[in-house]
Amino acid sequence: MNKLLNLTKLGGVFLLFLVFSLNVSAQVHVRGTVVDELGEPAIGATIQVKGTTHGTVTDLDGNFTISAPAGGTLVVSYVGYSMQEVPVSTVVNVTLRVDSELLDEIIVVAYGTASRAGFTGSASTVRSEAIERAQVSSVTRLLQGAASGVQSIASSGQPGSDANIFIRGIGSINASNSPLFIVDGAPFDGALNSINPADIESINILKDAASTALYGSRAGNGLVIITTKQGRRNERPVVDARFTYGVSGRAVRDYKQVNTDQYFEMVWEALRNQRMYVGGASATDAAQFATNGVVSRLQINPYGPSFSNPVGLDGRIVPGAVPLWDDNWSQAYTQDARRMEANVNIRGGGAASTYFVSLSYLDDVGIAPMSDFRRYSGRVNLNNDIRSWLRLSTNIALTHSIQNAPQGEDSNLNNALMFARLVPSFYPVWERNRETGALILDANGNRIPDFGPYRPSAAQPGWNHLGTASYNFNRVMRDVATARVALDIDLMKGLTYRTSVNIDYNNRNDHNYVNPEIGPGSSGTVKGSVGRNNIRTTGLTTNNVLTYQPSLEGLHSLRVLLGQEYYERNIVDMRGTRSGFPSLGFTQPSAASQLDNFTGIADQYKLLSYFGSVEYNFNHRYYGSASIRRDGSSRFSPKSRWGTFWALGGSWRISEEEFMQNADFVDNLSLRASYGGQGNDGLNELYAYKALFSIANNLGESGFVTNRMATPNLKWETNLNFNVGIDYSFFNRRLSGSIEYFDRRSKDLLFDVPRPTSIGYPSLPSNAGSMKNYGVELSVTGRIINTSDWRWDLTLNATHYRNKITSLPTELRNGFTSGTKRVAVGGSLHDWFMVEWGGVDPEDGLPQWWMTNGQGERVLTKTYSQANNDASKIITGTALPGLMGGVTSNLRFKHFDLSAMFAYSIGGKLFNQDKWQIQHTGASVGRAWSVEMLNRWTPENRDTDVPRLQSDAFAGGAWTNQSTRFLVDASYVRLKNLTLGYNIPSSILTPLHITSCRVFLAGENLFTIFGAEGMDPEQALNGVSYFRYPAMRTASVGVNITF
Amino acid sequence: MKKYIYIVIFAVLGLTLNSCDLETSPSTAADDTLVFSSVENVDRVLNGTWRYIMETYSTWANPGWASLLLTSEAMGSDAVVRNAYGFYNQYTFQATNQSNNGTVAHIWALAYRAIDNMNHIITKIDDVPGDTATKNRIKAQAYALRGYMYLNLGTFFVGKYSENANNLAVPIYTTPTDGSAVGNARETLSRVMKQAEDDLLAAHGLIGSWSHGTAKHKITRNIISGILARLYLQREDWADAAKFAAEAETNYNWMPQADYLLGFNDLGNAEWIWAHGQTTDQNNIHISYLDVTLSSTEGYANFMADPFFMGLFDEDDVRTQLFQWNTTHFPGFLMYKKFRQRPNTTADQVLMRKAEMVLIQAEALAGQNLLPGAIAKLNELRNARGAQTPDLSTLSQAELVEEILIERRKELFGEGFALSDIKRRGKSVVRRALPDGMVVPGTEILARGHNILQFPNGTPFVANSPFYDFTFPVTETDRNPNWKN
Repeated sequence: MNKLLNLTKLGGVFLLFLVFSLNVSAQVHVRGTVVDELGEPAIGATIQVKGTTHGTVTDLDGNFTISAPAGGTLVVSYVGYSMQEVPVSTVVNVTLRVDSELLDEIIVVAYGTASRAGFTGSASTVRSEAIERAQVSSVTRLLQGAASGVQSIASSGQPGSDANIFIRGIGSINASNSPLFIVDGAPFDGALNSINPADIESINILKDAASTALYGSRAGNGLVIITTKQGRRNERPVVDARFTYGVSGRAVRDYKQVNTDQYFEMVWEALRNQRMYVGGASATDAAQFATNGVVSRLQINPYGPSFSNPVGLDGRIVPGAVPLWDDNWSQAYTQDARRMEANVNIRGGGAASTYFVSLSYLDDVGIAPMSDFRRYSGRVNLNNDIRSWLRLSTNIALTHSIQNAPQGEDSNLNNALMFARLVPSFYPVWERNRETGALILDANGNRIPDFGPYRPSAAQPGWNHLGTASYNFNRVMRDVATARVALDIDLMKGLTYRTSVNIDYNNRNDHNYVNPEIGPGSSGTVKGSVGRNNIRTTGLTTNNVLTYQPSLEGLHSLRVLLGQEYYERNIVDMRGTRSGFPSLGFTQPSAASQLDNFTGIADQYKLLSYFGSVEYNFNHRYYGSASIRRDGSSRFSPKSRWGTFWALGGSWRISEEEFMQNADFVDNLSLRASYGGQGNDGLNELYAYKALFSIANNLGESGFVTNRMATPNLKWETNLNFNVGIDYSFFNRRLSGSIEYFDRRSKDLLFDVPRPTSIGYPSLPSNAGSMKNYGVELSVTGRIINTSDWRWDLTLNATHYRNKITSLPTELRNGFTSGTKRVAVGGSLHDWFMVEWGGVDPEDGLPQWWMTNGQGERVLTKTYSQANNDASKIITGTALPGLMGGVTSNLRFKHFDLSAMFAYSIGGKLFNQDKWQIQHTGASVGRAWSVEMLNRWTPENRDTDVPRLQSDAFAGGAWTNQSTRFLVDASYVRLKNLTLGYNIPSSILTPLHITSCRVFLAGENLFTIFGAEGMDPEQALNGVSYFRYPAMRTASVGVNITF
Repeated sequence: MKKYIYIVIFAVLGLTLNSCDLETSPSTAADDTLVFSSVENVDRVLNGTWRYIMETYSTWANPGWASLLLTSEAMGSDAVVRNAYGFYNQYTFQATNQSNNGTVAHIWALAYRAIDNMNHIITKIDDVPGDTATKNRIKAQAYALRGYMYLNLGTFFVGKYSENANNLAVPIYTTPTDGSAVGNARETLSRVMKQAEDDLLAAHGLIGSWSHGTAKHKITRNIISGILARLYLQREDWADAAKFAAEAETNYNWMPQADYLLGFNDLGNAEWIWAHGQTTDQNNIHISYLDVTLSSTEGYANFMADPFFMGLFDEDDVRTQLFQWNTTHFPGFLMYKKFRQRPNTTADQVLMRKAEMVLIQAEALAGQNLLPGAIAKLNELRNARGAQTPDLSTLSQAELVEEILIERRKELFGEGFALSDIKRRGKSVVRRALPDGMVVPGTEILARGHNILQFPNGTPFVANSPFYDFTFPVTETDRNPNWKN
């Protein structure tokens, strides 16, 4: 030990001496500037004296000064550009050249990094420049349209909510379809919305076997590798501050509704029709009955007392009658939303260390009353060379967030935006004088929310979220701490050992409160309620990896990796509810008198893994890779818990071949292919082998009830992935991109094989069935204009895939119905299967459906239940899109930049059940009506697909029963983001000691082209709407300052 | 050297954080071996099964076993179900007529889950250490619950017993299922009823004199007798029905008249023989559909009464006091305020009362043409309710039976007998429209009565209609290779 220490000391002294002696011999004071091809200063380019560690970096104007030995050489390097060597002289001006060979593009992959050139796997990258343009609060929302092969579905516009990510289709029927997220080298267990997008340097999406197999059982649905920013060595401190402020609204206007006059006339018509068509009354009697009945049916008369029967015998509003008020509930319920974000980071580094420190604050207010998301986050990323052979890297991030997330989907009345859609505008939002329509004000001059206890039940009496929103809340408080600590030790030349400990701590604390005095919580005798939940999740990953990269003779390169990893997740969940508050002002359980519930659980999941890989290339022309991983999961029985996963890959850089040397226009051309198997154990259950009885305590005594049968043979799903692709770059990188074909076959699907329920269980978990997803991905980037003033880059990516079930368990070989879908061999997992709409009978205006009768003939029926069976239903298209992707345009003119990203999805169908609620035929008294109902059947309007109105339900079933009538084309194009920026010239900034300053306007979801009026096209993978919080449109101004 | 010490330290640290033990165990479930290790734990399977069948929802409109009782009620003549969330499709005869209906599938799943649990107990308890008396009591309760389930399956999924005894009904299971189970074949209705009878008689023989105290869901001899009485009533085995009904009500007293108005939510009621309790942490919302005093913000309040139903009651009858016209939340509807939740939103679920047993005796005596005895039993109930007791001695047997059946409707409204009584007596649902222009007395509000007056296919209500039989769920028929239609 002493010997080593002495050697190091000695070496240091020697070096010092050397530097000193050189310094005194013949030093030249060099001044210079480094610019890029457009003459823009290159900030932070490295200038090093060749053969020494002596160096500097350029300043904000690209200038540098350095002392260098006369006759020596300076090495100039800058990310993305070729390294250049220039002889030492007093003035050195360097123009960087883009590295056309792409050799320098390093991407982060499983357990390390790889050079893009020759990479055998399939990866898409989203870089920080693209990330900065989006105004989203969750990292999951960055991927829509941004990368090929990725389907991102943001079902909810609730601030802080995540999008669902699917890579290359749907790999599983019953197990998880989510990719594994890896943050700074280890699987991430924190909430995804806790990651500050501004901290992200790059997101790599790894899609095929070769790139994912090292994560074995966890990689079946692909990997999303997030890498956070780091400081650079020898970089002076750079402060980067960015502020944005914006306003938000709905991205899509809600369904149009009929106005008050139309509504009253339609209610009249419904009453008349009931009386006439069903009751058999004469038209005159029925009209009289309807005229007399409208107001008492609706329990309100917005036309004032002077028009006691506002609808005349002709079914029209009587002359002179005008509604005294018109309160649009959806507008009233849409609060002024704003979005504010502040990010500040400092980065820099010395010779042996780098640092990146960031702080961020986000305040994203939603459009639904009292919905918002606030996030405070901080990060410290440090890298230190402790010894020449020992490096420590530490990434620590802390996030605290508060999300006010009132019910944002479902037909539950707490879902304010859905509720607002249901109440027509003649029911006042605020209490009004019924004679004049004037607002009634309280003693303080404030409007009084009208809870409408008089409203008929379909107009939800007793509810007004504007009255309760400021009291009631559903709050999610999250604390996420992430630590990534790794040590790299050079054991000997070419052999490195890396050990890391990675901990994610995620604490979610919910507080759901209903006040005891105002609104629904005030009814009954036990008033108000509170629920508190605490869910604590910790993820621990430790790994030990040996990497051997020898310097081989000749043209061979080799890299060997061996590793071991242990992963453990612990979940502790406890929750309780109490009710009965004495008054407003108390929101905690301690003040509530009645204990309603208290429970808590703990769960654990463990995974132990061993893995290895070999990568080889010959002369940077022929590349090969092989990897293997063996995983043991606590989820399965000891006899079946170990699984082996593997991959082989190869690539050929055609452009490096001799015969290509004359093809000057080709910068890069490579062909690659891979094949291998990854796993998926993402079942909902963690103990998927035991015969278990649930604990089912009853009335204060212990209880057990059957829960699952023993499944000792249950094991992993396997995804066999084949991938072949071509990467190309032509004309000095003016045109580049890739084309890929993939075929992803899932087998041994973790399948809850349905069993006849009479055996006491609905299903038995089994490995049965197989499915494939196959398709093509394309990405192309063109630098269409490239002059000193103008630069325009256009990127298109497109993905087409098909999902196909190739086999099902024998019990289900004929397929089965799952909700609105039919799952059958040859079809996809999301093929619509429903009752076929038969139109409206022009004779009587009643809805009809197609049924298959006993003779196998297709006949129309007016009784829905006769058509609602598997024999009568039809398969009609799929919920999955045929083509999806994005188009990104980046245009720069001098100091201006304009960028836009469109996401698109073409093909597939959505099932719109949201609109049903406002498409009733008159039985839901007081419920709002969509304008579509204006096209209802009448004797004059016989050729329509909207049935007649009548005040009681149709005996044969409502026309809004599930049928093909409500399928709509899912194709859409959405302008995800648009940014216009201006870089203030350095001539103004330099005196202010500011390096750069960019001001910008940014928009998110600015417009949407979609066929179905009032609906947001982003629903869910299965295509079924669910009364969701619609997407938000945000327009912001921002400034980004660096100094 | 120092380098290697570093390496060793970090390697050891890295490895010690690993655990090679991949065993985990759940905090919400127990291994089957633990469950069948003591009689105490086996007893807990009974209790857990009760929890399961009473508290399992598939949606809010399928609140546990009450789904069946409310469905039966919605498909009768006396309840007017509002067109709101839950049970309206039963009221229109559309729900139970569809093989993919959630409620029927839910009831089916609850029944067979209970049967499987009872099969675990019945087949395994003999090998569990413990005293014989306790084992017998547990086993008897398991037999009884299994028998009750087979009785209900045979009642609701098939038509009237006497006309369908040899028709295929439902599958029978008497041993616990495992991963190899594919589904048993259907058995005839007589075979299913025989299984129920055998189970109940076995239970009756084993149960001994055992008192359930305030845990009124736990099955006693009285309860077993009561279920047997129902079974024999269905099979029109009048003598046995009368005998077991009499045995069931032994030791139970009539409730004071005032108690009839208290909301039918308290299992402490003197007449209640069998009931499942509720607490604030176990408050299945079944009551929310029946409690018509709730506004729609507080509950569902779907089950209103047919105004013609009110006409069956006399003014002295304490039960008449429960009728009230609604002029606020559901204007025009007639409320029958029999069921109300407690202030803490709970309500115990009644499963068997003395009144039913007395009426079974009356009907069974009438069935044996023992008319004076039948009248005496009927009047015993009428007296208990303060109702008038007109002279019935002039009635024919058929007329008296009709009188008793009407009394069942009046007494047992909301308790789940509406459809099963119609079926077993081969009767038709009767729903009439209200007279034109009928208003709520003293107001101008139009009265609301039945709004579904025919079957969904447009045909009139008739006796023995297939619309009264639940359609087998597609989750069974599609998946069971042994299923025959």
